[in-house]
Amino acid sequence: MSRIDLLRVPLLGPFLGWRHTRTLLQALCLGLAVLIILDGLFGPQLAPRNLAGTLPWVHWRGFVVLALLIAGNLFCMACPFMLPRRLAKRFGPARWSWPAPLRSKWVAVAALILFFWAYEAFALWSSPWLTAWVALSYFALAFVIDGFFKGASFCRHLCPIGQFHFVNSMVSPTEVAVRDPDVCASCETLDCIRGRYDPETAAAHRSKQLARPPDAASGRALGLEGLVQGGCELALFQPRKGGNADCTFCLECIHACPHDNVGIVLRSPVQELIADEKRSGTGRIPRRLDWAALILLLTFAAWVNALGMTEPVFRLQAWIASWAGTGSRQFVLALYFVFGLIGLPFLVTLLTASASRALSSLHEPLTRTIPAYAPALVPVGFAMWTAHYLFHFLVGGLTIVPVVQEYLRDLGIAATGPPRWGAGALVPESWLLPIEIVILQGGLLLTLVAGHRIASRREPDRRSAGRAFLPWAVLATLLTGAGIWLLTQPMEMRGTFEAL
Amino acid sequence: MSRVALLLVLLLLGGCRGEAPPDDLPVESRVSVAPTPPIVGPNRLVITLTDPSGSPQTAHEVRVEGTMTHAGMVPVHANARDEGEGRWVVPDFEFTMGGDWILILRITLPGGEEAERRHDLRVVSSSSPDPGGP
Ligand code: SF4
Ligand code: SF4
Ligand SMILES: [Cu+2]
Repeated sequence: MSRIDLLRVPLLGPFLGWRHTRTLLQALCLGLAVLIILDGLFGPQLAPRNLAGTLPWVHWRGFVVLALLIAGNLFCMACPFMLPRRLAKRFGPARWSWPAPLRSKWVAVAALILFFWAYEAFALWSSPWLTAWVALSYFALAFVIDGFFKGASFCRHLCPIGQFHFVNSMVSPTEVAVRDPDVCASCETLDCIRGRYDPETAAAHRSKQLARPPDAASGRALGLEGLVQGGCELALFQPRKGGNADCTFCLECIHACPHDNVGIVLRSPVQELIADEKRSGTGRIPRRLDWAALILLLTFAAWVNALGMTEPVFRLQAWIASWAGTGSRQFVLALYFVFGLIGLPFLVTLLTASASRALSSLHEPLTRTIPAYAPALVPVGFAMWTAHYLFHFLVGGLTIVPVVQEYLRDLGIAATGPPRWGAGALVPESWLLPIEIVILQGGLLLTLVAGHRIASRREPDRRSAGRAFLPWAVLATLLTGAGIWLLTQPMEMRGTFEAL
Repeated sequence: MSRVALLLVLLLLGGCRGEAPPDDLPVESRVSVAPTPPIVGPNRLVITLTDPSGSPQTAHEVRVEGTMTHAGMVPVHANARDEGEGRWVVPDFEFTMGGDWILILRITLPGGEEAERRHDLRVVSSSSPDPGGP
């Protein structure tokens, strides 16, 4: 087993392995976040002129999908919201356990739906001021929640950005993983989850025989006293961690392991989608309805979100408005999202799973079939997100140049010259559609491979595996077809002028 | 330390850059577009400038900028042609995408003062009539 380990790659390895890398990246992002908030609150309120209109909605979204595509969950790694939260951990009680009834992805599912609705309903992309407030609330929420609750409660149970990354990084090509399982088998300290303590405290812990099992620990079961290096705050215990789900790429485990036994390894992008072992932290994702709901929501949201900026959606929304007899934009959009993010995924999944079960040789409740196949849909969904966000990034990547020039000029720094308003596209326009189609088809391919492997794992023979897989293949193909159709629709960016 | 100070100054200054306060120069503007509703592609803009009493207002120069309400699209710039009587024309103003646009008129008055006036426009994709419009 000689997997490629990024920590052993020259230059990159030492950089990633450096203790302060994460803090450095977070500090950079925090600096950007502060600029965005200030400009959003006090700068010109025309989105294309404002850092808060440009950086988050054009560049950040493009960056995160690219990072997920070629590396992994780099945003959580560099997440600026985590920096002030460290203070909260130090000075707040941070003692409570996250309430047991909320220990699932359901709260996060609700938070995501709310966010997708708010994004359209208040046209967040066109309001630097609201964008700044979203960022500020984010800081406040992470600070307060993690100031009261243990571990990374906010990331794990609430954060919409986190869930987007946890789900989509399931197809990323790298993962934080154990290098040699044998070393873990003989490990006595389990620092990767418990954290590393100074020798005295560690000895005291040992003599007390470490009552609690590591999985329940959330990394902090033993308390903060004497802690030199934290363990995993997301309850992922390396020897039983399998994949990127719930991993924030914080690299604490890498620093904590006294045997230098944790690396960042390359892997197949379908590996995590087809796995069915019980894993630490997340349990068995293919058995969990809340995870299935999260995956399906994010998959369908990719289409709903992209449809939101094409011409046909306005006809649809006008129709909803006349059907519901209302002119309230917020209400019409609420109906649109309840249908697009809850009703439609529910119906389509129910139909697909019923067909799959009818064709298969298994007799099981649909609550088993749906979570079993849901992970296979991650690649098509991720491909749609990537195609959409990359579109904005490739079309408008360079628009940041004049925005920064004007920003500096407004501060009285003229060194960068007059703003070059003609700067915009990163690639010729004719490349966009081919790039997007290749991405969508790559996603479809991975979904088909994963779906088939899942069916083969579950079904007794090849023929019934093929049959059980068929409806999911049809669904993925239809989604991809819809995606291509969507990307060829005329683009229309509306939302700020009140009338529907 | 001095670098921290510089950063702080930059941040504070960042807080000072804001929307320019509206001018109170005596010029009002109307914009009409052909076709109506405007489409993706070239459109004819006719800008009419008046003074508060409604009579034509002369100007030295009228520059037009079209920008979308969301970031990531290159703004469109043009100079309008003076047709007399306060009428200024851009024969082929090119909207690059359907959706919400803001036209910013920068009007240089004969005295050299510059007035800025904004107009919201909804551009439709040329392939279809505006279905959801008010
Ligand atoms: S990763 Fe390191 S600390 Fe964790 S169990 Fe393995 S050897 Fe022990
Ligand atoms: S400590 Fe946990 S969340 Fe952080 S990189 Fe390791 S496994 Fe991922
Ligand atoms: Cu978009």
